[in-house]
Amino acid sequence: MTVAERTSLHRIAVVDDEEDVVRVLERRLVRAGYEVQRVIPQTPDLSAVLAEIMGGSDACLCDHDLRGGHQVDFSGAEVVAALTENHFPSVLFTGVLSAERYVIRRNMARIPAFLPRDELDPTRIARALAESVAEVREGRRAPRRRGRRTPVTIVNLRVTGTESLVEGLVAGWPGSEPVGIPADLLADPWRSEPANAVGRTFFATINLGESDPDHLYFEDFESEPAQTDELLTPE
Amino acid sequence: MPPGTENIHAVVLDVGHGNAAVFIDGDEALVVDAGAGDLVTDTLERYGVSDVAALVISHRHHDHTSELPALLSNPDIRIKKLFLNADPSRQPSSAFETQLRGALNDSIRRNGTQYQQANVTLGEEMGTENLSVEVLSPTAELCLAGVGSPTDAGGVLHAHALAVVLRVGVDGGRSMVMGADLDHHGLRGLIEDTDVDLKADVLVYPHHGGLAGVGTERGEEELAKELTAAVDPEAVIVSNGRERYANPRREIVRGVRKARTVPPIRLVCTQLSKECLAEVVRDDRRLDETLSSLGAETGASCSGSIRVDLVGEGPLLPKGAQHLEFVIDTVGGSALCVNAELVVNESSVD
Repeated sequence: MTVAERTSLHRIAVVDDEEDVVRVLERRLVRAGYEVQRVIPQTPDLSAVLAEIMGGSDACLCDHDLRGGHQVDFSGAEVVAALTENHFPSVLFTGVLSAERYVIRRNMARIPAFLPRDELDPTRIARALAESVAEVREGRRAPRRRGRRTPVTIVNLRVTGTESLVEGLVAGWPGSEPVGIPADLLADPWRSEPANAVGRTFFATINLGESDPDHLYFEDFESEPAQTDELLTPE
Repeated sequence: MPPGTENIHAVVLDVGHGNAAVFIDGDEALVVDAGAGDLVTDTLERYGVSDVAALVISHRHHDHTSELPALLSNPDIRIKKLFLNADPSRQPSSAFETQLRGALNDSIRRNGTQYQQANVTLGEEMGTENLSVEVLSPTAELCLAGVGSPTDAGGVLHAHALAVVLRVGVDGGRSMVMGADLDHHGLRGLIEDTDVDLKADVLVYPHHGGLAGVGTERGEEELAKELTAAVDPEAVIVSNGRERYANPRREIVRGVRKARTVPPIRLVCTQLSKECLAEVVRDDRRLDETLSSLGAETGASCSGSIRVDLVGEGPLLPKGAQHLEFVIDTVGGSALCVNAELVVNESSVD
């Protein structure tokens, strides 16, 4: 039984701005029993790209960097996030994370599966697609994707280019280093004045079971800081 | 089996180097410690349990408290009582303590959580309908001395000396001693207190099978042997991790295994000790598929999270046989838990 037969996904849209990458992935996926739809975005119209993918395939494998050489102003993370909102299974992959990790973080709650480019073999792709199907169609997140409400203490504000990042210590996450969070994920009024959030503790929903800091997502930041000065008297 | 006791068991969670255990009593739970990750939450979800009758934190070190703020903050979990070991050596201004206060206030506001910050609490307050709890340690003497007070040997009492050790059991069923990180001061007091009955079916070994601070290899082995003999368990569970430490220590394992040779004490480690195998093994067949384990994804688990049945005539460890099969097939006779030469040739305590 081929990987394609096992996952009941037959036609995969491979989305990338580099034709060479698309060709390599196509060869691998065809050998594993899939049909492939090549999608090389050349328009700034995200909805047109989404329609092309959802109209032509059962699932999508999408590179994060889509901006090379064409009039494209959206990222693969945004494509996958939009597909997730449409309950369409997809997997994001990328070769270089460093410069784009906060663009990805902003969308990570809606990126059901993520693979480094050097791990794009059919077995891993099939596993990632299966996780994506479970999350977007059946509402079952993998254990490391399950969100937990927990306190986050904002310890720093960093501005790099046009990006404002707050750094937060996450209660319950095994890593001891602060994690960079796009400031626009904070709730109002903190998102517009993120410097005022430094030193405060907020509740947010985070996938605490994830060990890789680049795969953490942050959503549902609450606007009221946690009451931390003294303990309330139990009723 | 008395009516209503069919679904009473414990899960010792693979949280790496740390401790977390969930006792399930029907639709209620007792939680003892909350180490790294979100496995206590995951376990409660898996059993469909949202009411935690009591959550006990043995001492305020991160490998026992990490998940606590998230548990208190979870809108789907109602923690009725929280027993926090007082520890004056902690830093109240640290980010974690600040987060803990925020989460506890939130839980008090939403659920009316009652909390008590103390070393000694009556075990009766921690139990559920069918689970009885006894606080075995710290002793009143150690509590009166307190963390940081001088010892006879010229040192000072560490927070581990005042870690809360519990025996949790079912009347007419099985019981477990939860050893926390109790060090040699506490262990010596516990073993020598003739009023305390330590007998239990399972000993969750103190301090992840690491050193108790005795100072000599021979002394560590002797203490491990005395403790294990006093508990006289069917199984000893070590909640260990691979990343920083090579636990359980050989001298501890020697002491445990020498405490009783017939029938032999079953030794189970949640993660593969580096002493047993240098590399991890990616093979999920050894794991209980109904539970999550921190070491599952990397292959670091040995037993992984393991269930202990506290009632019934079935095996104490329902997945114990498949774990032992894995150890014998994969690690072989050099595994600490089965290595005969460890007890015979390396022994320093007769």
